[in-house]
Amino acid sequence: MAVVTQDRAYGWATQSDYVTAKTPGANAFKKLIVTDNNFIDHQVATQNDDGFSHGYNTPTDQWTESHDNSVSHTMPGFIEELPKAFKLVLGGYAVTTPDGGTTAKSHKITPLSPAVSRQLQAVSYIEKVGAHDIMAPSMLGESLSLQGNDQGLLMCDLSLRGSGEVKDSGVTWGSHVDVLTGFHKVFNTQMKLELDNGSDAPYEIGCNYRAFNLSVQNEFLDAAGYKPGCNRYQTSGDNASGAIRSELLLNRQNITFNFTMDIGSTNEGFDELVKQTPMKIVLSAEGAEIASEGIDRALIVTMERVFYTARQIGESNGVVTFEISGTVMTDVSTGKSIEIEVVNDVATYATW
Amino acid sequence: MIKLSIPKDLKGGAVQFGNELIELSGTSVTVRPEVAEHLKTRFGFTEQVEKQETPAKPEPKKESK
Repeated sequence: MAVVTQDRAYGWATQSDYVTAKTPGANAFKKLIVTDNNFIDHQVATQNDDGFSHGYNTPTDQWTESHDNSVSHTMPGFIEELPKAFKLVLGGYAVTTPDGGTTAKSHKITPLSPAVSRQLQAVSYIEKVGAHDIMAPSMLGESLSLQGNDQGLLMCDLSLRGSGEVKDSGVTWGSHVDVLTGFHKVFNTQMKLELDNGSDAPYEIGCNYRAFNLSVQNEFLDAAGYKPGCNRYQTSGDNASGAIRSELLLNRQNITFNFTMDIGSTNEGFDELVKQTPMKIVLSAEGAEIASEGIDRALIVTMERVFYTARQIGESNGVVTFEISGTVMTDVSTGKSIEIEVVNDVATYATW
Repeated sequence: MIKLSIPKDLKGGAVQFGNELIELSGTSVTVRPEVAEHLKTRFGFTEQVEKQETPAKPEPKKESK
């Protein structure tokens, strides 16, 4: 029987360090719900003996030097799942219990401080369709784009980059992959946008707000991750099987945003951005209350210091709009750049 | 290693840097210097100063009559 894309399944689990793959076991992995049909892209770097002095005009041999792999997925905007994507891409994390809360937790995700570490948290990623059932250990968050458009669910594009290692998953999908349920959706219609120049009262964009996009692009030291002295190969101990990475360090991070809003009679906040007044931007959404604790589920994105880079006039359903694009910078006085706070009833995202 | 007092709002929680997880149970936590610096500036942890222990005074010798 042919295999159809509807039979696809994905999952992931955090690792204790970069090189140690998650061991399959009861509910060791969490199912990953995505909207796409993507599968892992495994690339093999090979060389051959073309031009060697073997007396032939064509190569006679080929060998494997190294492996690389990556995968991209689009995750629907569930408030219980979004922190996982942000944490994999940004790396810094703190969890607390808000005042008056018991099951309610505040999860704050920030960029990894380069003075502390350059190694993001790794996950073992699994995917299955038909007879294809693999694990790619040591995958890191390479890029993320969270978007809100029209009346739709927020959508989060996440790309992971691995060590190059790919193996049989060894997973029994019925018992080793925990199927999470009870997700709460975040819609673009819940979003609020506030601009703060630090001196006047913050500008609330209100009904003029249309859409947003927040992107994080990580640049890894991907070539340096193949460390000859570590002797790590696709097949352990077999140098002919090709090298895999022993680490994958974060080099630079590019965090950008754009917002689309209707052109109104006043646009003070955006005018200030155009004048390059450094602005603090807060994008937030509130949801349903958590277990009668008086605390609402929430997503709060705070960009401490943003500068404008482009403005485009456009149109949405016949209404004239304009789009502001910019770059998130670090405020050197506080060391802060971006913080993603999610309030929900998940105990922790330290591991999953 | 540096010993830090945990701010009230973070007690019982956790902080994490990549794969490195630091559980914040109790009232203090001991971390490496670069982590301590980050926790102090970013989260308001304060460094605990170890009190110098004063040597115990020797008991006065009982004079035999």
